[in-house]
Amino acid sequence: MKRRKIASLLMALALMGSSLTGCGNTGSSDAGSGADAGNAEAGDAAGADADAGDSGQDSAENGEEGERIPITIGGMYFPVSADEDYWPNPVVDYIQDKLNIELTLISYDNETLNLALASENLADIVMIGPDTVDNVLKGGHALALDPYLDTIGKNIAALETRNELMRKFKSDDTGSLYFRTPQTGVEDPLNGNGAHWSPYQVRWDLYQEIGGPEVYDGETYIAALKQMYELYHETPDGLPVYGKGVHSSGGVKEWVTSWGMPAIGQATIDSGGLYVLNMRSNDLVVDIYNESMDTAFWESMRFYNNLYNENLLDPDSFIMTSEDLNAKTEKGQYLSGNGPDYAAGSANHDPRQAGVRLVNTLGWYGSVFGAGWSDKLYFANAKGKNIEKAVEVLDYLDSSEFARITCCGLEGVHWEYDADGNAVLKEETIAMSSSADPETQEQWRATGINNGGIKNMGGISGAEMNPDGSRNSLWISPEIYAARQSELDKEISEFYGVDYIGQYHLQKMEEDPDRYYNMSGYNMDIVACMPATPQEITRIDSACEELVMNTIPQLVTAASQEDFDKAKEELLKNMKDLGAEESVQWWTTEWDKAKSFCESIS
Amino acid sequence: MKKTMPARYQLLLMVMPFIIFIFLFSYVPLIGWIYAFFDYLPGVPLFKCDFVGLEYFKLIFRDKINMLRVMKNTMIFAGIGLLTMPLPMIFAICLNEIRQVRLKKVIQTFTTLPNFISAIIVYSLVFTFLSRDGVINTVLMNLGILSEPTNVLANGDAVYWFQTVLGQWKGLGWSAIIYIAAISGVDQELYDAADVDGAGHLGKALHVTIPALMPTFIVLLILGVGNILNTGYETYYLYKNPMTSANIEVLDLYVYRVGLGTNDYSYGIAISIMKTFVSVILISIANIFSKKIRGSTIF
Repeated sequence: MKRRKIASLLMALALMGSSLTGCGNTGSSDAGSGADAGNAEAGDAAGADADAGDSGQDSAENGEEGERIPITIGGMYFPVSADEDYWPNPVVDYIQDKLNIELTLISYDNETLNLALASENLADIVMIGPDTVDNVLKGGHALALDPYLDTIGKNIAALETRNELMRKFKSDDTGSLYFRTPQTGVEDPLNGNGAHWSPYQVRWDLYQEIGGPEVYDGETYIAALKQMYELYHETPDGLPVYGKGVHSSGGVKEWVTSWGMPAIGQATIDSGGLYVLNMRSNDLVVDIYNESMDTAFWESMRFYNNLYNENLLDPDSFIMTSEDLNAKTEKGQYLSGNGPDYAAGSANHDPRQAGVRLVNTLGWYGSVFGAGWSDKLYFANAKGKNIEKAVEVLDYLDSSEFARITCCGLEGVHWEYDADGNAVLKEETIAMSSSADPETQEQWRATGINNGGIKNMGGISGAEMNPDGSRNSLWISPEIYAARQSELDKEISEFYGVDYIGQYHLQKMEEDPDRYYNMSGYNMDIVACMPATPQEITRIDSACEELVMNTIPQLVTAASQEDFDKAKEELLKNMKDLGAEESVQWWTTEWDKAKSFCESIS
Repeated sequence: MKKTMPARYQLLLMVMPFIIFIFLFSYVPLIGWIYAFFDYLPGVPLFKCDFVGLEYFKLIFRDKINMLRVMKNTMIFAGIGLLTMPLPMIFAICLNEIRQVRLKKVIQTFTTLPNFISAIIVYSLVFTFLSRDGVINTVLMNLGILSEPTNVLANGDAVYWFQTVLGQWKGLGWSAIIYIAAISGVDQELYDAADVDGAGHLGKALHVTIPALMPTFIVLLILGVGNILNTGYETYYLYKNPMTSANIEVLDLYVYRVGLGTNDYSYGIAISIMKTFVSVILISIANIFSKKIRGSTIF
């Protein structure tokens, strides 16, 4: 009896103790939401940062001798360095040695970023989108870079156009420089990416089997898909085959970017896809709340409606996630690929069964980003432990050297200067990058060259000129593009009668400039000049997006033009009730102001 | 004489962890209600945010289109929930009628297990079985029963009954446990007396078992009424897609979408506060009715 009483007492104490321990804060990882790996990484990285910071507090800013200063760079949907197969790689090693840092990348999503902001537990350098600018500035999280521009920030200072726009539009009217953006300058003018973002995706082997007909609009594309369907309408496992599938986890934007945007040259500019930018005129197009059918959204709805009525659209498109879509693609259930690049299918498939993009009238190359990618804003954490080192890192990101090594690797190892003093890639580097051998491909990945996660942080684009007289990216050359092609790429190039796929669009632009165009007239800087969207407008836009998303099935499955028009009319009426006109008023007014400013400084 | 801790202190000590747990996770977070009165931006200290008073509460009434839709869905699901409340009790009674102990245990185990399966795994299973290319459609089409596959996951009209069936499959066994426990506490002499009076299985159930279970049922009913707006959001989040959204988005899911999806934290909190007040009022009304009808309350 006595033993039972003692046992029950001990159990009660143990219960109390465990609940109190469980409530204790062991650092950022406990403040995380859910089991998000990025947040765990943020917690681990912050914890590591705190540990190193403790020793950092005992030493000078440059660290004790032999000790690297830990620097974390966090961004929305960043790669996580701890998850990278090869980290650090030679490129990252070089950067770490040069700057005496220990670099860690962490990933935020919407919730973990808000949590990090609220708990003041941000990385040393953070990348955000335009909608979080107010939070960062009003909360005093961003360090003003102006005091450093003459000393350790000269590379940042050199990008004057960008900085001017950042001071004017992303400084909470203080005129200080808080943010820098990546990839200023011109994008690859030689179209090395081929038919990137073309809406005309086909399974190459079937397309060749039907004779490779010309595809240039929705009608010709559907006609080609129908012919391909007659050859292949069931997989070897007995699964049904469809012309195309779309996933709904990306919201309205997914429906717009998969067809309308590239088909008629209107780019999305806001997170919801309610507004698009005409790439030729740079005018704002009210994409959805519009009687006209000549907008990216309505063009998409028209196309997908036609596709559905031909029984070529996967009916699961309204409920699929991107993972479901990829799984079906792997099983060979589509006559087209998915995603912006070639979808090669599973390893068991014939490479010729890849979903290939046919050259579109719009070439996705040649943009000039004066203000860089203004939807990616980097700042140094004003409350970080290693502020000066963070500024040094930001400055290095804006250097030509960073652009060169992230695009091309290390001098003497991956590239060199030839007898005439021109920077050239080594033959073995070119060969490694395009090898089909799996082992060699792993070796290539291990080099860290052209690793998008790191490379895209660079302030200067690869196509810009390096002080040594060559481009930062030595890959930009017709000869190298031709040499790097896979067997499938070569077959496609041969089909078009060119040395490399992207060359076809360059030729067509010269022959028929009215029909074929690229993004050189597209002014993304206007987006940088837009103010943060007011909460009320965001609320309206979000409600409208939800409504639109729920109406898409009705539009796409409309059996007749009458049903389609009726669904459209009802959608527009419901959007009006939600306040769409107020949103349109704000967006058009602010866009016109931003566009006028950009035109005045260009 | 040795002094032993009085029993009441031991009992208090045993319940303390749970009181602390409830206090920390249910009451302390109420401090966050203050954010509903400010135009809060994550990362900006509260004292630097604009004080807006009751603006977000007024917004609830201005946001008529969405609020009416989510309230409609919430009330429908809650209403179905209340209507199906007797099912666990009926199940427990039926289970009690099974004489073979082993069979009874097996049935109880298999019906309780789904409660422990994560909602995400359930969704994966449902998708595997019930999607257009799923097992059920494949089998039925191969048997010639269906000429075209059906997709209940993409059927907005099927949302209410499908979620109800799913909820019952998952929760029936678990909810029945409390009734099974109550049945085991019924005096056997009452059943013997009913036998003497010539009552059969149905008679015993109607005149002995159900009256014995009524107090438990009423308590759960009152709690159910009070939680009428707390339908949860996880399951609805998983099954929500453009085809089902109009009928599946309940209040909790709307708060999640508004608060966390669009970073409109203040508005989300305002809706939650209103929901809490309405729930307190409802549970108080249910409690009063219970007093009037049965003479007993739960608080």
